[in-house]
Amino acid sequence: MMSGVNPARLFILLALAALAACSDSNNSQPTATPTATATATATATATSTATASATATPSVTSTASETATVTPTASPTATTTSALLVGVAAVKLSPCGSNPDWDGPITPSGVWGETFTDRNGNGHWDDGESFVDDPVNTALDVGSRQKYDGIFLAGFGNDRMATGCHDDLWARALVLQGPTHKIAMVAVDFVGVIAHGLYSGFAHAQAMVDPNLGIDQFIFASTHSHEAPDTLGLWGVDEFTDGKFPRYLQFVDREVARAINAAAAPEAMHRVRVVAARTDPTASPGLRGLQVRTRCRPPFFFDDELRALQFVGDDGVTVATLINWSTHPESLEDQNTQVSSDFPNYIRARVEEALGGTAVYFSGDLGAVEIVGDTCVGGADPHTDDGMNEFDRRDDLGFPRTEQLGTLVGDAAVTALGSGERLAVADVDAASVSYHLAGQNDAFTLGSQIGILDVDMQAFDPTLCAPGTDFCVPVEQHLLRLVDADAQPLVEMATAPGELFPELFYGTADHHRTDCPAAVTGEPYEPAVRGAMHAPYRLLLGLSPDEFGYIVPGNDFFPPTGIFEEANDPCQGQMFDVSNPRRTVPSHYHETLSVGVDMAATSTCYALRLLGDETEIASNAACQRVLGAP
Amino acid sequence: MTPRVGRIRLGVLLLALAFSAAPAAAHIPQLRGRLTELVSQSDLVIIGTVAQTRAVDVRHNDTTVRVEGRLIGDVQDPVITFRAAPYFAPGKRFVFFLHREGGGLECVQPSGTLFGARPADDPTYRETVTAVRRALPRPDAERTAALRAAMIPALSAAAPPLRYHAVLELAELSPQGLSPAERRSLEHLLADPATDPAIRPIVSRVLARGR
Repeated sequence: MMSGVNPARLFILLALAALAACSDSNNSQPTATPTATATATATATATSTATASATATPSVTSTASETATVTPTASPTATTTSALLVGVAAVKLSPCGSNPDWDGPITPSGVWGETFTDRNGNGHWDDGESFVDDPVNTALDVGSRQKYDGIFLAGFGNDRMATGCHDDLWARALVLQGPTHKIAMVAVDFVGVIAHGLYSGFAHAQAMVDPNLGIDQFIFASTHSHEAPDTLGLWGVDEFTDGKFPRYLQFVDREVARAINAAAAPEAMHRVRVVAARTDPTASPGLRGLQVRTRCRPPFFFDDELRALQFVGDDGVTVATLINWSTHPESLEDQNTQVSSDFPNYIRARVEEALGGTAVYFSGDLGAVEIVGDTCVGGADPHTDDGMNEFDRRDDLGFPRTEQLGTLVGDAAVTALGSGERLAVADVDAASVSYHLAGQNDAFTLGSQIGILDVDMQAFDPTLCAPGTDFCVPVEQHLLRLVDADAQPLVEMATAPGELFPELFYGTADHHRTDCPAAVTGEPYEPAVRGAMHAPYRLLLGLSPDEFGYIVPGNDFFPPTGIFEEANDPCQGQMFDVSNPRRTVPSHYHETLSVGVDMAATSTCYALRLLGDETEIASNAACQRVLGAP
Repeated sequence: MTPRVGRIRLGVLLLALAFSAAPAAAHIPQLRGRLTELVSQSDLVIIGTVAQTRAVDVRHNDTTVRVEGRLIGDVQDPVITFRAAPYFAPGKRFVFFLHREGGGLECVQPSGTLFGARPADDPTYRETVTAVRRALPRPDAERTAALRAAMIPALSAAAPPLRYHAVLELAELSPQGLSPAERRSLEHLLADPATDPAIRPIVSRVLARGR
């Protein structure tokens, strides 16, 4: 996938060191930071140029079999004053009923979509029913011609059409501004987004943000709701017909931009103090037994920490609360046909009810982690002291249970914040990295070829990956820090470009399977992202900006093989926890929906690069394999 | 049925049961070739036109079909009814993969797996399904090659689902590359301007393996 480009790497390190040195200076001027550009060819020849940058964004670029751009947003400026400003906005994305920003067709049920003749009277379009093909959709996506465009719900199987909206979907934007930087974070209630689509995606939303607002960096993420419209294309009427609704996706982009513009407007920015909290099932018993592993996949390990940041204005009124928790929002499962943001809706509602302001929910490292009652039924940990778990069942799925679950999590966040720590935040800074990764999944290749996935081939340019690569994935990762007056991190937030397994956040060396020696693939352990963080509060923002599928540890990655596709595990079917006989080893489902085995190593190692932990990168075999020897 | 076929079918059935016993569907549908799996799970594969579809619940329908052709198994009735996860639109013509369950029939296709069939597509469906059926009981060493031989002609099928399933399965069946004859077939396919551009990258990748 990658060839060694040591001179380029060395140049990157030197450039970063230079930037870090600049960062220590209180005199750095945001409009005069130099830009350094290095281009390494296959023969690793490096050149550099320095120019003035109007956006004060130093960058380092190397190009070989992969292209990497590390973009620190530089220089947290030391200050002794509490200087953090926060703006927040929530804009509805619900595809139902009237909305002044929606000029597309609405079906009789109120759900947006091309109008149709409901021959069987079931309230939604079915294959074979005639419909009015909206030319706006076809103009955006030629594949939409004579295809029904409406709200197919994402998650689970194909052809699950929405029959109404139960609760609203949102784009919730949180803008953080310190003395030197202004950063926008947005969470949308979707299963996931490809940022660089040809006609939709976060890149399009970002392009619509008012440049006069001075935003340095954008962090987009999806909550991964499985009860919201298909934003990827995988859930259409059949597996080779995409489920995207082009006109709606462009509406989404506009509304996401609108949310950012509203949150970042000068009049929306409030001077705030920050209260931070973290809790877990030990400290907050209400959280016990709410997470399970998909089909009980070992190790039975979770990121069970619930993290929250409360931004309180000078007047004592809460402006916003950020919540970060790690499990799939799919409590409503596959029988539901009402659009919903699932349990995050109730988490946010509970937090807003208790604290005021606007709550913004970010999903974390939720790869292979499900909400209780999904798969692995009967295998969850106890929820109550008597060893029982009222949620660990399949006969009670629906909104009441989903509300209970969300309220439990919201309560835990509120309680934790009640005794939270006030942080002396002096500034916010951020860094990002972008690179290309060779996809190794034929299904993704075919999906992009036949238009199921909306990908902009300029961004997915195969020539930016190794020769022979069909699906060359543009990956983007971010690191955001809240720092004190000494530029020491108080809060660190790293992003992951998909569904990161929690072992990868906490480190696979310490958290890996021990049940089956025959299942060890021999791939080296990826580094611990969390372990490379230094702040007391360490967040992981998943599916950001892209949903590139599961990010599976290499030491347990069994690529799909053979006629049944999902690889069998050497210990498949075996019980791996004597205290819980329901936990048996499943086949390797997640690998079928992964870009490839290298995603785990690249995403964790680049996260370490953003965190500045070159020592760990140099000593970690997985990093050396994907980034080249130090 | 030979003992070997019996073991394979038993394994397949156990696998199918294991998946059907899973309490929830996969989070994300797996876009993958399913021809071999569906053939191996089926007692009856027919071509027919949907006469009626009645919803049982959100995710299941009772589907009534006028039988117009038989690819695997025997069926006497000109009209049959079975329970299915996919929604089959009345008036449309499909290939159906069916498993006998108790006294009735069930469709083994997942919700999004549909094989639309115009009458002109019937010979290619018949050739592919029959070839897969014949390949399944063969010894391991021969089976993979026989399945590849079943998939390669389907790459030129006019029916997109058949073409796409075939190319995904061919990729999975060729981890170590191809025989010289298979290589020639695929090279010929790539040289043909009529070949679907969507499958070319995967065919090229398969060809590149083992070089």
